[in-house]
Amino acid sequence: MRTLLLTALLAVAAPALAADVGKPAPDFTLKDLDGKVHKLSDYKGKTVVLEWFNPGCPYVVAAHTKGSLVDLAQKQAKAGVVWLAVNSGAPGKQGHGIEANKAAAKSWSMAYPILVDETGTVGKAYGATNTPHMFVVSKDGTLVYKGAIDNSPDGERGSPQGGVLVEYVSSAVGDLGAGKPVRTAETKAYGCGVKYAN
Amino acid sequence: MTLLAAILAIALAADAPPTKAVGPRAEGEAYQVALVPPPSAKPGAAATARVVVTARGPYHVNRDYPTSFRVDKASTASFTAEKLPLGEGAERTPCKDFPGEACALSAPLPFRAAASGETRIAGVVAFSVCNADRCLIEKVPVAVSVAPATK
Repeated sequence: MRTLLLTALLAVAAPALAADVGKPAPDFTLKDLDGKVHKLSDYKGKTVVLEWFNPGCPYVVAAHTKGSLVDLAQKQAKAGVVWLAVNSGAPGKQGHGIEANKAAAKSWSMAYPILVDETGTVGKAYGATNTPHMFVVSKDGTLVYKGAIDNSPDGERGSPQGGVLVEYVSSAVGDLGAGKPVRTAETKAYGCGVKYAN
Repeated sequence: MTLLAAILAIALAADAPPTKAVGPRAEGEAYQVALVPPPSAKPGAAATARVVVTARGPYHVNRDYPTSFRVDKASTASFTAEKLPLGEGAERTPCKDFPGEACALSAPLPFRAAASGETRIAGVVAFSVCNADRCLIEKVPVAVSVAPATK
């Protein structure tokens, strides 16, 4: 009985190791830099893109200044896609802090919220390992893509693997919009490690 | 006001340090980069230099970053492309202190020597080094001259 109780407690306390493509995306509630609350399940009925973010990471800098993240969110927003950045950096780690994130958002004209996940709970529930690490959630709340923003691991679209640039997130959102299965549902994310507390 | 700004700009320019000459080696707190030429190259013939990236201190070379050499217009050597990937065919020296990571990368840089005289190789090496807390992306200019082979 005691073992059963312990097992049940652990199951409640421990988040899943990583969200699986094809399964429901883990729901979460996080505040953005202005204190506004965002609950993933409130966006049901819309495609949601989650972008793991760290303004101090040079890959994120490259992606937002020269690479695939320069204006992709803006374009997708026009098509009704909800785009949310998530910073799972712990206090004292690179890229943590409201002001640093607000400065980056202003500098890179990010018109979408940056959600604060300093305990890392949401990042770990999704298995976010890198910044940027991208996740696409379909209108019915299913995780349909996780991985890199594109296939150019320099962050600036300058070195695509195989010589041809593939924008995985654009492609996944495009497939969803066309009512087709996502062609590439999972790739290896590149970038900095997420600066979790441990 | 515009005149004042112009005077200030001229004064600041006069005090600015001269542009650092680009050489065969460059280093930062976290890395050293060297462009190692062959001893000589026959005019117009194919030859190979090497690009060596060495991580310093607690850093290692980031294996996931596409290390590359972008050819500068100052080059008189010819290359197969303007930007050359350096990862494939590179020799990696394992780190003593960081199991599974490489602390140095030595990559061949094939080129064709100038038709006559000395050959200049100039470009920018792009690479990334990481420690336990952070990664850096660096773009470091290097240049070297190769003497023409006499035989």
